[in-house]
This record gives sequence, C-alpha cells and structure tokens, in this order.
Amino acid sequence: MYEIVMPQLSDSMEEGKLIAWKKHLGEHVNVGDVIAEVESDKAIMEVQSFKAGMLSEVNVKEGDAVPVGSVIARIDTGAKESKAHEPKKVEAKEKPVVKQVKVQETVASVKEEPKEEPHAVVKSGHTAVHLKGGISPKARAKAAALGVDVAKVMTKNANQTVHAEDVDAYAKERYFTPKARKLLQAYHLDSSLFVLDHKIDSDEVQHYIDTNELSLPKALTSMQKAIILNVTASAAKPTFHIYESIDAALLEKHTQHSITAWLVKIFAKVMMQHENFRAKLLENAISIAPNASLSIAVADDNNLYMPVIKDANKLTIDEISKQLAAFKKKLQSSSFSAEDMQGGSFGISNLGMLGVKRFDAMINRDESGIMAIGGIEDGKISITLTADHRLINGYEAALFMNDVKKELREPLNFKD
Amino acid sequence: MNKLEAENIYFEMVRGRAFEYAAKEHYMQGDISGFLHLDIGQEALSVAAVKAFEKGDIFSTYREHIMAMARGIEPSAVMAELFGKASGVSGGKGGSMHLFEPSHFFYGGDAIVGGHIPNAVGCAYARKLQGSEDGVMVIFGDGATNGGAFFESLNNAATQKLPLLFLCENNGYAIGTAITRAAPFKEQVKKAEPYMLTYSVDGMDAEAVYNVVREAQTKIQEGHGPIFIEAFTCRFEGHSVSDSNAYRSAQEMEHCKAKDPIEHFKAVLREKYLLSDADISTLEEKAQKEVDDAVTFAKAAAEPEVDALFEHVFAEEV
Ligand SMILES: Cc1ncc(C[n+]2csc(CCOP(=O)(O)OP(=O)(O)O)c2C)c(N)n1
Repeated sequence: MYEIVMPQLSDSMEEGKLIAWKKHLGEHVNVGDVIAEVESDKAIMEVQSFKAGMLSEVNVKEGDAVPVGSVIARIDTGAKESKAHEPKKVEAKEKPVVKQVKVQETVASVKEEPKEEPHAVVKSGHTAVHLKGGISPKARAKAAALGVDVAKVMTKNANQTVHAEDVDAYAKERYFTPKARKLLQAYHLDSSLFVLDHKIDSDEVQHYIDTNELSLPKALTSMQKAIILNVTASAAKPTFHIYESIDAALLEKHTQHSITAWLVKIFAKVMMQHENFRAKLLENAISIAPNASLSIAVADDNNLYMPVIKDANKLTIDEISKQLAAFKKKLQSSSFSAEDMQGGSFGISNLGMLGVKRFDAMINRDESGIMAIGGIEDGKISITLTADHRLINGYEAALFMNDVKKELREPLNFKD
Repeated sequence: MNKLEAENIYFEMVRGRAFEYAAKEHYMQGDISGFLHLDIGQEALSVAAVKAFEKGDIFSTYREHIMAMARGIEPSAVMAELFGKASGVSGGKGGSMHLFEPSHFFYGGDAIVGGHIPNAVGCAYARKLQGSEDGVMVIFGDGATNGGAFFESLNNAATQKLPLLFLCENNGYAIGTAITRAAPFKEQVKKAEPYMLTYSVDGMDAEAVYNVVREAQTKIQEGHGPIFIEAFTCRFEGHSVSDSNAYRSAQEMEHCKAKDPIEHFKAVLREKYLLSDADISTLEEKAQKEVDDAVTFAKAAAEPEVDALFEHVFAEEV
C-alpha cells in the first residue's frame, strides 16, 4: 500500500487545496501518472504517483484544503507490478475489473461506500478551467471585484497575459455606452467606480463627475512642458527688483512706432554702456555679448514665447518695428523656430497695452535680466527691473535705470 | 569514449534520473525542505560534461545533484544533504543548492544566478599562477548569461588567457521566462564569440557533449586560454518543485520529451557498443538500487547538532 500525501510543493506551503482528481477510484495508476491537481500557496500543480498500482482510497473531496502531509489517497501496489523507469508499459491495464478486489487494509476506516464512485469526483462548477495565456493576480482580483468573468476576458485576449487594464477595458466595453466610455477616458475614470449590473450611459457618468466635482485632466503639450522647465529654472535664480517709472512724453509723441519698439531701441543703447546687461553665466566664467540682443515676451492665452531681436543696437526703429510685426505673425501661426528664440541677453515684457499698471517678470533662460513695462498713467510708465544678482549688482542696476530714464528724455533718440 | 566509459555514463544518467524522482517524492512528503531544482531531461549534459572534464575544478549552479554524483560524490551523501542530515556532503547545512566537496574539486551549487561565474574566474586565475594544467569548468544556465558579472568574467578570462571552460546549459528558460524575452537571440554563444573560441553542441546527446568537452579541456590544458561551449537542452520538470510549468504548452513538452537523452543514449549503447537488453537492465537495476539505498541512508541519518550552526561561519585559521 502506497500513501499519497498532500504534497509540500514549496517551502512556505502549509496546506493545499485539492482542485481536481485526475484518476478515479479503482483506476490503474502508472509511475509518473498525474493523479490530482493541487493548489499550493504559489500555483496549481500536478501531483504524480511514484508507484504503480490501483487507486484504492481517496480521502479528500475536490475543493477541500488539508494540511501538508495528510494522506489524500492510497495506491494498492500489489494490484499490478510496474518498473520504476519505464512508464510506457504495454498496457494490460484498462480493465479495473476490480469492483472491490481488496477491502482496504486493516485500519479503522472501513468505508463501505459502494463501488459507484464515492465523493471524490463530484464535478462541481468551480473546477479549474484551463485557458491558454495567463492572468496576473492583480487582474484576477480586479475581475473578482468587478464581478467580471475571467474566462471571457482571457478568451478575448487569447494567448496573451491578461493584466488589470485588460479587465478594465473589457468591463468598459461591456457595461458602458460608447459616449460614456469617451467620458471615462477623458476623466481617466476606472470602471470599478460604477456598479456593473446594467448598461451605463454618458448621463450617468456625467452625473458622477458633477456630484464628485471632478476636474478634467489635460495633458501638457511639449511646448507647455518646455515653458514649465524654463520658468522653473528662472525661479531658481537669485534675483532682485527695482521699481521705477519713466517719462512717457516722447513715447506718446512718436506713435508711428509702438512703445515696445522704442524701448527696444533705447534699452539696446543703454545695454551697450553696461556690459553686465549683456552677460551670460557660464560654468566658470562670464561671457559678454558684443552686441545687445533683446528677447521680447509675446503670448496668446495658451503659449508664451520669447523671440529675440538680435543686435538691436545696430537696427533702425523701422527695422525693429518690422521684426516685432513679424513676431506677431509667427505667434498667430505658432511658427516660431528654435533659432528665433536664441541669443538674447536681456528681456522685455510689456503688459501695458492690456491695462496692467505695474508687475514684475521672470528672467528668460540664461539672460541677465528683464524689464516689465506697465501702462501709461499721468504721463508716466512704470518699469520694473528683475535682475540676476549673480551678474548685476544693485549699484549697476540703479545706474542702468538712471541712464534709461535719461535716454527717454533725449529727443535725439526719437529721430529716424 | 570507450565501451566502459559509455556504460558508466549511461549508468550515471539513469541513476541521476532515479535520484531526482526520489528527491521529488521525498520533497513532496516533507522530508526535504528549502528549494529543489531537478535536472530531469538534462542528464546527458550534466553527466557527460563532468565525466569528460576529468581533472580540474568544477563550479556549478543550484541544479547540480547529478553533476556532484558524476564527480564521484556518493549518492547517499547527496541525498542526506537534501534531507538536511549531518552526514550530507555539506553537513546538512547547504541543502539541495549547495553541494560542496573540495576533495572532489567540486564547488557546486550557488543560489545566486551567475554568482559562481566570477568565483570560477578567480579559481582559474589561482590555478594559472600555481602552474596547474587541469583547468576549471564553470556550468551555468542561459539566464545567467544576462548578468553583468558574466560579461566581466568573459572579459577577464579572455584578457588573462585563463584556463577556464564556460559551459552554458541552454534549456531555453530562466524560471518561466523564455530566453528570447530576456535576450535578443536564442544562442547565448554569440555573447562569447568576440572573446574566445566557442562551440555549440546538442546537449541531449551524451556522446557529443563528452567529445566537445574533452576537446576543449585538452586545448585548455595546452595553454589555449578560455573556451565557451553552449549545449542546448530541455528540462522535463518545472524550474523547481514549486513551479507549475504552466508557461509551456503540452505540445512543447511533448517535443521536449521526445528528445529524451536517456532513450537516445540507450540506442547508442545497443548499436555502437553492442550492449544487450539484459546488460542495460542490469545497469538500470543497479542504479535504482543505489538510489533506494541512498534514501534509506538519508532517512536514518542523524540531524546535525545545534553546535554545527557555529561551524563554517568564518574561515579557519591555517
Ligand atoms: C542574482 C539572482 N537573481 C535572480 C534569482 C532568482 N532566480 C533563481 S533561478 C533563476 C533563473 C535562472 O535561469 P538559468 O540561468 O537559465 O538557469 P536554469 O534554472 O534554467 O538552469 C532566477 C532568476 C537568483 N537566484 N539570483
């Protein structure tokens, strides 16, 4: 008599669940034959017999869990001899003519169940369905939580491992109308937020969104990402501000060019007298640009660009105006090139035409500073300098502001 | 190989398989704990390679029971080790994955995948400095060739022209991961080609394995420097006893088992070495008997003393 025990299939296994019997009571078993399937703490595994004979006793029902080491079956090895390593015997088996050849052994358990297959092979619904492909534990748990039939998801994803997202996708397809699905997708909602016992339409999803006041997630465009990087880097700079105002009399007199255009011209001139306003910080050095190039903030309600007017100190007011007009066009068609944005060392941001009185601006990329221009009030315009303190100190900044104010009162600058 | 060697190799393959089945049975019965990685299906490779690498040092992975026995370690000492008994080859403290016997120049069983490859490089270096000609063989799986230490070992061995034989047992899987999911090609030998002389061989064919390892060892002994052999094989069982093997289809398993190295070599014995069925049965019975005796021995053997926990923790002073 050979005892088959609930096998230990891993070091951590303490009990095992009998999933299915693969041999029936009274059937002949060869060495190596699988007689049962058992669920360990890790997987469903096959239990082989290492001896040949007749399955004469079965002690565990399908679905039952018993401790490792308990005898789950006995094999009557007297019933038929078979060699250890030669499982492929010419089969004289097949006819377990038996009925009850040997009435157990001595021991107590004289079970007098009649031959007609005792408890063992009750084909209950839950016996493991073997499908191709696999399913992750997370997906299995999700399917259970949603009440989704695992087999259906697996059939749908035949031969591929089913993941939690597949279960979600399956649930969405089955329980949501196409419009409702679109909403779920827009708001990144999971199917498990809903009770899946009816077809769910977009009204129901919208109702959920409204009652929970969910906000609509919008992905960043690559331009937005670039701006975020730029602004974040800018905020990390050590800066200080100088708040001043300038005399607008001459600007108001020469309206054939915009205030921005005139300021570009004048700032460029003053920058040529203050080299740190043309400076750029390198790793172990400061590089001073030979000419004054200014970046100009241009924006619509989505994007902000800082295209550069290069060598503005060499340009006439007409040329500057033309470039500003070109920037406006490029803004409308979102067609700025990387080249347009390069080479500046100081910036201008003008919100004055939008009625903003005073503000400060953030320095663009690796420039030295930026001037924020407010609107005209009582013949004055507020200007706020934000300067990178690593390049420009307060004294020089003050001199720069004074020079700007002086140049704006000089009619000769407003020629040509 | 001559007739005697062929018989011996067949005997060891059959004994190896019977041993592995016995180990599986006793694991399931709770007599063996820890991990258990069986070598069933790979016997040709494990036995013939070790037999061919006659002298020299051998480093192997955790799937090493059969190699240890082929090196001459008694089946009873191996089984007792699996049972965690004091008379086991590693005093019952190593278990299935750590069969260590310096007197047999067998430093086998490392639980860390690929962990033993650099150790073998170190050993080969030492042997070279000592002027020994025997050489070192390191056996590892296909999965182990994806680790960084593997490439460093190839590089060092080739640069220093070490007397080292790299033997890759390519059974196509690292646990349940097919090699082609973890590497861009099936043939791991490609990884060694830029570094050294390489061979590929059918790992299910004991004779082929024997011949190629012999040839390689001879070359190494003549000062050739390192050599890489890839042997393609197939394990019949799951990765370990805890592995349900569910990632391989019935068809794949059938294909795999059709190449049974024992059946294959049995035919060779009959045709080439003219063994009769009776001769073969005698070998098989003797093999089974040795395994049965090993189990009986292991069952009866004593547990290690508690004090044994304090032995072999630190190197002993010399
Ligand atoms: C460094 C390390 N990583 C992961 C593991 C877990 N592990 C144990 S065996 C194994 C697969 C090894 O495959 P392969 O080298 O092909 O050997 P095989 O078992 O197929 O002979 C892995 C990943 C480990 N033991 N060590």
